[in-house]
Amino acid sequence: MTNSSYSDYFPILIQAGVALGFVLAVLWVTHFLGPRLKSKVKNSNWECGIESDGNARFPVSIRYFMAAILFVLFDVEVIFFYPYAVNFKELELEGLYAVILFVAFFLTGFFYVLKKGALEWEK
Amino acid sequence: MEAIIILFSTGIVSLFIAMTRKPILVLLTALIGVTVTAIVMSINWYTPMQWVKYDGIETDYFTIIYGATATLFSFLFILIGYSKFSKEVYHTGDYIAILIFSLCGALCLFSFTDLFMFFIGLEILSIPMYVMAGSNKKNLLSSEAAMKYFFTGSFATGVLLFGIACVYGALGTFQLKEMSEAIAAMKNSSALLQVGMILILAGFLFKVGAVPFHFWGPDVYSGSPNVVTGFMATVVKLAAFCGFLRLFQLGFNGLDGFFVEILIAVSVLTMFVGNLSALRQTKLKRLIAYSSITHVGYALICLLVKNEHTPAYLWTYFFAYGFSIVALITVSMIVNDENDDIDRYKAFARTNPFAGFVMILALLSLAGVPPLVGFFGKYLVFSSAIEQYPVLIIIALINSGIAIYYYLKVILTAISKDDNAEKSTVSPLHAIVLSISMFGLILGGFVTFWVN
Repeated sequence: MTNSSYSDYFPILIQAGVALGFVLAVLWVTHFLGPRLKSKVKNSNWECGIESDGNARFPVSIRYFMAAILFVLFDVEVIFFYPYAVNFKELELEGLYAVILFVAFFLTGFFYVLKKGALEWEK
Repeated sequence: MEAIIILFSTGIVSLFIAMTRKPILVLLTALIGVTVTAIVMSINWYTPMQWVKYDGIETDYFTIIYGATATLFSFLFILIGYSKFSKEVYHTGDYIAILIFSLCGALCLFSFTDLFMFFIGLEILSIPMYVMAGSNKKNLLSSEAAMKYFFTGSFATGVLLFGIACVYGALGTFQLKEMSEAIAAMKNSSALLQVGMILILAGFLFKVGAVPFHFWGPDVYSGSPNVVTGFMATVVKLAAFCGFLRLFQLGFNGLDGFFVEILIAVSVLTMFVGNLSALRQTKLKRLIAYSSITHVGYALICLLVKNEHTPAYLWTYFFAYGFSIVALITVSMIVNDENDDIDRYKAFARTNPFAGFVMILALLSLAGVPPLVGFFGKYLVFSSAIEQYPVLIIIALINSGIAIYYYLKVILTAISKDDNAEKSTVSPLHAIVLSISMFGLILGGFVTFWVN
């Protein structure tokens, strides 16, 4: 492991080059693809649709945010179960303890959230 | 490890006890938990505990000393903040628990043996601080502080992680011991390792608020609630310094070559920028912020000296610094002024003789006046480096001279005459904390003999 040399990082360099190259290439190529029409009317500022009404920056209830963030949290928890389910037999009891501890932490958090009333939609 | 588990459980329990809406119960739980943590940690001094085994954490003497100090300061800050926390019954448990969780991170930083635990510890230390900086939700400045601290802090974390990745790439291990062996076995120094170390150093300098990464400091310190400011200035700085000192000494075999030059430059810059900006401050917490930048400059000298006593000297320095901050924050809680203007402290020492006395002691200790503990902290740090870096120490002494000016200005405001000044009420908890910090400030100097 300690004998890593700079050549080991060559794939990363290629990856970075490809990523940057793709973006630049696409930006450049779009100028030649597709027809381009230029006229006075087309270049002028123009608006369409219903006239805007009011300010878009009005306060939104924090509950939406709470529901969204809690969803992400428990979603990620489920993702952690996949590798455990795959390696269920190899990990034996030690794995079970680890997962029980993990779930216990999560349930503590869930209980706290419930008690705090973060999930009560009408209050 | 046992101490961290107990502390963590205390945090969880105080979260749930807060559901009873009785702040006093939360306070008692937290204080008992923190005390038990300190006791459990101290038992390790005589017989290492082996109940819970984990490779990433190793307790040595310095872990215990640093841990006990951080626990003591957290204890005091929970006491100071109680009057504010208990006003919002709904959130008392949250505030106290978050402070305790942050302390958990600090304990990880005192005892890690691999980079993984180091990073986890640093994050557990910082993330609660991002939250606490904005805990005064109705105050715009507090929200601004949280926002600024979070964005800049997470960016610095990114830089730090990138540095860790580079170091791993160069050495192929996360264990501190194996890292130092790998570095010792290296014939030519590797560029990848150096880049990684510089990025880690940058992350460190950001976390402690050294120039040129200090810009978040004043805004965050002045915007955050008083207790949080104090916690950031003492526990967080102590933990960050200890964590990185451990990393550099155990993992990288100490810093040498051009890292020393970088650190000297940063140290000198930090002292001057902190001091010169502090001269014209009109708000107490901004003054504390700039003076804390200066103190980081002094403490950085510790990292330069390759000496087995360095952790002890660094500890003495922050031990001394912490008591001053505790006293000053208590006084600012007593005065309880929204704008935090220094003018508001006019005649404070006349109307509240005891609190004023402790405040003056704290400021004198920050300035480094001999019988107080601050002097011994400075003395140990400066004397350990004077043979290797005489010019640096002379610059540091000049800066200590400049610093006396703005500390004296606050003292003069506090003892000046003002017939309209009203007496502020000192709550019993604040009086207790003030007495403890007074003892610390006056008698703390005796730890020097023990350290030596």
